[in-house]
Amino acid sequence: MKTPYGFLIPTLFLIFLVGIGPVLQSFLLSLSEFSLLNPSMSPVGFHNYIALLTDSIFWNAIQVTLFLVIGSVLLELIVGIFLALLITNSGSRSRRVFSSIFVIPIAIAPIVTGILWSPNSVFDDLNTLLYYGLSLGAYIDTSIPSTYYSLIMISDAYIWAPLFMLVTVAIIHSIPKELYEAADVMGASAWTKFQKITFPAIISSPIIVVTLLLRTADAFRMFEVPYAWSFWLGQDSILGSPVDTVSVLMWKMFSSTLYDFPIAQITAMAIVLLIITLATCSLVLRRYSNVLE
Amino acid sequence: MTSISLQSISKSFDNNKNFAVNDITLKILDKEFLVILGESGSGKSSLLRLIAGLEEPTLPGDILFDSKNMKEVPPRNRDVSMVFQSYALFPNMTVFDNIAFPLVASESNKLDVDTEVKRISSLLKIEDLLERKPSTLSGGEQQRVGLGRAIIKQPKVFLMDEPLSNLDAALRAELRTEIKKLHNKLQVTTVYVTHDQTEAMTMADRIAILKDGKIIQVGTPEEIYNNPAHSSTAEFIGSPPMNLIKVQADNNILTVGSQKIAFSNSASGSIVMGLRPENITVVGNNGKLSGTVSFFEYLGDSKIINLTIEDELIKIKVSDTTGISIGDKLSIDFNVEDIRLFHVNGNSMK
Repeated sequence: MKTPYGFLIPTLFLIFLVGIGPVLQSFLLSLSEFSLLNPSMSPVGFHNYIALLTDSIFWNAIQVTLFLVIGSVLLELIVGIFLALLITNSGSRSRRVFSSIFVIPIAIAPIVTGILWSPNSVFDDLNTLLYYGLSLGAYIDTSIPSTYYSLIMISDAYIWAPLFMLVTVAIIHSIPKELYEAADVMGASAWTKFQKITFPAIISSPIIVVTLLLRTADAFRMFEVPYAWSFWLGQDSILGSPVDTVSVLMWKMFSSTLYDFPIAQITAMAIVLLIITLATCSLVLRRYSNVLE
Repeated sequence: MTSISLQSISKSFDNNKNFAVNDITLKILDKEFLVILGESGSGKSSLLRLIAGLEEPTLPGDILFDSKNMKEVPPRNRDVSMVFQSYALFPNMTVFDNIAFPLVASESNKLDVDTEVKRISSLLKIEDLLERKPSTLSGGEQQRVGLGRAIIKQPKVFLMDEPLSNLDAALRAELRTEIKKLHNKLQVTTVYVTHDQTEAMTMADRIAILKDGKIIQVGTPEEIYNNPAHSSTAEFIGSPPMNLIKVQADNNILTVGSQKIAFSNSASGSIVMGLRPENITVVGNNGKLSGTVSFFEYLGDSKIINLTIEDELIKIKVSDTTGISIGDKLSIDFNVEDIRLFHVNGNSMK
C-alpha cells in the first residue's frame, strides 16, 4: 500500500463507524425477526419487507407522507418567498421588526405548534365566534380531510416558511442592484422586474435548492404536527388514534412499537423511508443539476 | 434631438454633510458626446445617475431635457438608455431576450422586436451570440450586448457609466472606436463617465472634469490639454501628464532651486510651473534648465527621460536617447509660451 493512502484509514474507519456501519447493521437487523420479546437474530429473509409491502396501512402512510411533504414544502417555499418580498420591500426599521417576528416559529417546538394549530385550541373558539358570535351559521369543520390536511400543511409551513424567507432575503440582497436600475431606465414595471429579475434569481439559486433538499429530507420525518392532530380527529380505530388518515410513516413506525417492539419490522420501515427520501432528493437534485455545478 | 441642462444640481448621501455632487451647472448640447472625467469618488457616477433619474437631487435645482423639467419624471419615462460598468445583463435571459428587453418591457413600443434585434445585433457584430446566455460570453461581448440593449429603444440620451473599465486594454481600444462610430452614426446626445483620460481625449466632443463634486473645467480636449484650468487637470490629462514644478516667482524671473528662467508674468512668491513632457527638448548645453538623468521609461515609439533638477523630478518625452545614460548631466530647452503657471492651491493663473 502506498504511504499516503495509509493516512486515510482513521477517517475511513470513523466514517464506517458512524455512517455506513449503522446502516448496514440496520439492514441486517431488518432481515431478522428481532424484537424486544424475541431478541433472536435468526434471518427470515425479506419477510419483514413483504409484510410491510402487503400492509395497507403502510401504503396509506406512504401516500399521506408524500402528500404532506410535497404540500407543506411547496407551501413553505411560496410563503417564504412572499414574506421575503414583503421584508425586502419595506423600510429598514420595519424590516428588522418583522424579520424577528417572522422567525419566531422556527424556535417553537414542533409539538407545541401542532397543538397550537390543532382543532380544540384555536378552532373551537374560532368556530364559536363564527357560529354564535357573528351569527354566520357556518363554521370550519376540522374533521373534513381536505380541511385538516390543509391545516397540517399550514402549520408545518408556519414553522418552516421563515427558513425559506431568510434564505430568499439573502438571495434578493445578492442580486446586483444595477439589474434593477437597468430595468428602471428601460421602462420596466415593478411586476416585470419581479418576473424577469427577482423570481428567476430566487429559483435558480443553489442556496434555495439546497434548502429545498434539506427541507424535503426533513419533511419525510414529519411527526409532531400530525401526531398532535391525530388525537382530535376522533377516528380512534387503533390505539386511540387514526392510522388511516393522518398517520405518516413516522407515526406508523412509532405505533408499531406499542405491541411487542418489533425492532426488525421497524428497521425495515426505516430502510424504506430512507430509500424514499433518497429517491425524492435525487429527483430534486437532477432537476437542478445545472444550478449546483 | 435633445440637449440637457443641469441647473445647480447637488446630491448628498449623508444629510447635507458631504456633497457627492456639489452645485453643478452644465449644459450638454444636442448630439454632443460629453465625457465626464474624474477620479473615483469625484461624484461623476452620481451626476450620471441624477441625469438618469436613479438618484434624486438633494437641494433645489433642475434637470431639463430641452426645455422640459425632468425633476418629477421617473427614470422609465425619461427616454434615456444606460450602459453599466458591470454590464448589468439579465443572467437568466439569452442575449436575444436581453437586447429585446427594452422593447418588451415598455408598453408604448411600436417597433417589431425580431427585426430590431437582428438589425442591432448585426450593427454590433453579435448575430452569432443571440441564443447564448450572458455568462458564457467574454467581457467585450457582454458589453456589446449591453450597448445593443441601450441602443434598441432609440432613446433621446445615452448615459454610459464607465462601460469599458472592466475590459482589458486591447478590447477597450477596440470598443472605444466602436462606440465613437456608433455615436457618429446615431447622432444621439451621449454622456460618458470615465476615469480614463485616454478615453476622454479620444472620444469626447467636450470634456467636463470633476473633482470633489465640482466641475473644475469644461472644454474640448484641445482646450483642456493646452490650457488646464487647474493643476489637477494638468496632472490628469496627457501621458505622461504635465510636469508640475515648484518655483519662486519674482520680477518676471522664475527660480527653480538655484536656476533662473526669464518669463514675463505678474506673479510673485511660491507658485507652480507646468510644462508638458512633449514640449521639452534636450540640447547640448545652454538650455534653460539643467539636471541629472535619473532613469528612463521605454514606451515603444518614444522614451521618457526622468531628469532630476535640484529637488524636482521632470519627465521629458523624446524619440531617441542614444548617447544619454543614467547619471549624465543634461541641459533642456523649451518655449516659454508653453509654460503654464498655477497658484499653490491649484488654480490656473490665466
